[in-house]
Amino acid sequence: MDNYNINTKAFEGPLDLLLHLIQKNEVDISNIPIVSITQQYMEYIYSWKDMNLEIATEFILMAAQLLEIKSKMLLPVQENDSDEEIDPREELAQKLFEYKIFKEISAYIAQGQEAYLHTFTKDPMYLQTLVIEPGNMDIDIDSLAKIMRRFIVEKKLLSDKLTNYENLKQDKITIIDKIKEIRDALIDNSMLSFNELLKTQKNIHHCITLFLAVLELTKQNVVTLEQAGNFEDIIIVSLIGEY
Amino acid sequence: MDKEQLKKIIEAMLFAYGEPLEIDVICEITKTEKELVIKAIEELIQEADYNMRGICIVSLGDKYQMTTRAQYYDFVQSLFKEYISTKISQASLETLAIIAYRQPVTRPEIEAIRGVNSDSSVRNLIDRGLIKEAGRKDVIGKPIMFETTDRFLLFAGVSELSKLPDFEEFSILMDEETQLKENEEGL
Repeated sequence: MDNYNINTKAFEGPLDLLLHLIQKNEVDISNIPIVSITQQYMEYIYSWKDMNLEIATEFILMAAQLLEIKSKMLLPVQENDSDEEIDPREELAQKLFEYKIFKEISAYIAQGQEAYLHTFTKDPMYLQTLVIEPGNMDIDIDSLAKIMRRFIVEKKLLSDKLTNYENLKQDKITIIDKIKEIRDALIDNSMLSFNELLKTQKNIHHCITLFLAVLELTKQNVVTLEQAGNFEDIIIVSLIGEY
Repeated sequence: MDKEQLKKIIEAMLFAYGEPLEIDVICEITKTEKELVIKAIEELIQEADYNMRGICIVSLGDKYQMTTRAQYYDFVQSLFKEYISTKISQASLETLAIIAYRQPVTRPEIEAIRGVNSDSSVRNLIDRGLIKEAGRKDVIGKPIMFETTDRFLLFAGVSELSKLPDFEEFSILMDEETQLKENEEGL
């Protein structure tokens, strides 16, 4: 049986893996022994491959970059405009250095995490009236979320669901049911307001089914629809009264 | 209005508002100078801390918020059985660190530093209310920029962003580390 070298440590990305290797080999970021580090990096990739782990494309990309640096190291030393020698590893070293700093920072800001997670704050008291000034379009996503939250509380949208959630019943409402409802309503009134009908619907599912039923009745030439303008109420007019 | 009365009013306002409340709003409503309001709140904070009261008032930039005291977490938490406070993943912490120090910053910029896709980290941080969108950057593709929220200050335990250690401090720390290593090698 093959002897698997299983690495249980999870790496956040190729830079994280490289930092681990640098630390393990006790080498300096600005002077990476590219041949040996590349080899060890590839060993990790191959071991993951052997374990049939999905390898993120970022790891493959870094492997290619390491090999490119390795090949550049073999070429005669290049010089930049100001006659300084270009170290092919410099760009990678800078990236590693920057990433390492942010790793340090993340450890620093995580210190406060415990206290934060152990602290509770409360939502504002939701008042009965909801005031949205018309024409005020200067609303950012925060205030929109706030308005939505108030709306949910005010309309008790969540509490309705919560009270029923232990015994969920599928609400089997079909277009046929809704067509019958509309037809029945049309017996008393030859004209119906779509908006008024919407208000009597129990939930969003009923609203959608009602809408589909109206479309179906229109197609069947049972009703015709009238609307004075965009976003105005839709009037359902019966065509069956004449028979 | 005397200071003691002002303190009581501010305490009541902070309780009712729940979310971080701006000093300017308190000044406007109480018709009191900013200096006096800040002084009153500072005293409230000290009194609450001294008496280890169940609630504390935290300063978040130009806002104040009332929170429960972390020490009593176990008891308060028992009230909310369905409430589970999960720690933030290392990936999200790295992303948060980058946003905190480079804000406003776009997702591609974050990914350039981390070297990995950071989509889920960004979404996770938004869901936790630690970061928010901060408009779009005026470059090709107009990517969305992100910045930290008041909640982040609460998370990091600082009253304002400038109270976080300088970025340079961390890099100096690392330089010293390398130098230390080099010295050891020299010996």
